[in-house]
Amino acid sequence: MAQAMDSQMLQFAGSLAAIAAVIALAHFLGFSRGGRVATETEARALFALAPGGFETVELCLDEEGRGAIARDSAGRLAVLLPHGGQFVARVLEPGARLTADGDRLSIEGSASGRKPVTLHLGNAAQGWTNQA
Amino acid sequence: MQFNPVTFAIPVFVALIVAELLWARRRQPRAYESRDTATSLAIGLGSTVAGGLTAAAVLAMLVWAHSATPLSIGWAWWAWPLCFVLDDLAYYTFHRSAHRVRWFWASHVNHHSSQHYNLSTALRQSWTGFFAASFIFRLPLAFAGFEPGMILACGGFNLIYQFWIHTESIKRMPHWFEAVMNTPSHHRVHHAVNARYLDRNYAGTFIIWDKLFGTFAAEDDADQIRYGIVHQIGSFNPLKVVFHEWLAIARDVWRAPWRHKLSYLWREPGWSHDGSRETSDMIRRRWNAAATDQKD
Repeated sequence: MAQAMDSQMLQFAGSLAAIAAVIALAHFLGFSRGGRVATETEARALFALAPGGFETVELCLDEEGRGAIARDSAGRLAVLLPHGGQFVARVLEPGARLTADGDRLSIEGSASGRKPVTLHLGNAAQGWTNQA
Repeated sequence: MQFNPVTFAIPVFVALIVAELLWARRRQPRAYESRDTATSLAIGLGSTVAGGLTAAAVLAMLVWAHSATPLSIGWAWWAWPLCFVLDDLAYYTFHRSAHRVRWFWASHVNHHSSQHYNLSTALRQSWTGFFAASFIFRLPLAFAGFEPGMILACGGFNLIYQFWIHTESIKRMPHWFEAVMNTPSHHRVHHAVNARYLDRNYAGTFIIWDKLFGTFAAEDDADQIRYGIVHQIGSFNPLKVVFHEWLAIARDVWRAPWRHKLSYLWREPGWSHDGSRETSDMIRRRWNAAATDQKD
């Protein structure tokens, strides 16, 4: 019984070490970079995956490709939030606050429990604050 | 102590993940993300612990079912391939239920939670399978007279087979192989959130079950696959990934009117009593309607 426990602990420790090594290798090989939305076509495809569907009629990409904001024909707003190398599309809740500071658009209350989101939209940032 | 082939396969899993990382660096840099991989591997390690803690109970139930039946097939050589094929059918039944019944989905969802599709994704196995009573799908094999040890070994080999199909590095296998076996192409479809692919290709080892039961969809190279789940979690926290759907079920059951409470357990994921959410069938219908409108 004790021998079996020792063997299982050894197996667990070995697995833990292997996991740490694989994660370190992934980081060393450059897999810790964030994702980028390169084109409006890609952004539209990602917005379309928002729960309930979202057909973009107007959108603006973050200047560094770290997200995007869009509006549909019903006037709803949605954002693409970076998640590692990928993006998550979230339709903004009615109470979301959108404020501009220079070329930056800050979004609070983008989804329950989420931290505020900042997008670098250049001159377009001011235009999106009016649509909240 | 029972024989578990998965234990012996783990070093091979690690070696293949390293090989795929090296391939991805040159050929497909978006295939991996280090935090996503860390989450997958942490969940994989946790699942081995959860499996170890409940293995004796699962074995005891199979032994009980085996002793309760007058049928006894024994350890004849021909019983092994027969057991493997029937266990794969049992897996298909389990897996289809895991996508169509929210109670089982809560236990299975973590396997689909990654927005990447690589060999590390294969290791996002369930921690709560025993709690969800997923073992019931294997009991009919014990009642049919198969030895409990044989059933568990075949289940282990089935799990090992499913590891290598979690990759984008293999486009298509030879035609005859694609026709019979589950392959990376078929399983990419299964992990997709594209409307046309939702709830398709439940197979474990043999894709024939999907073709027989009408749940097969072929991969279309013109339609880029997006991976994950309909409501992407957006978190790398393994505890959130593993338990989020159980918590969501608890919230829904608590808030629902009495006559609808149980429906939040047994209806399909996305079902709601007020129609405020979408099931995969509703998403597919919406997508089909939009595609038809575009053609017109």
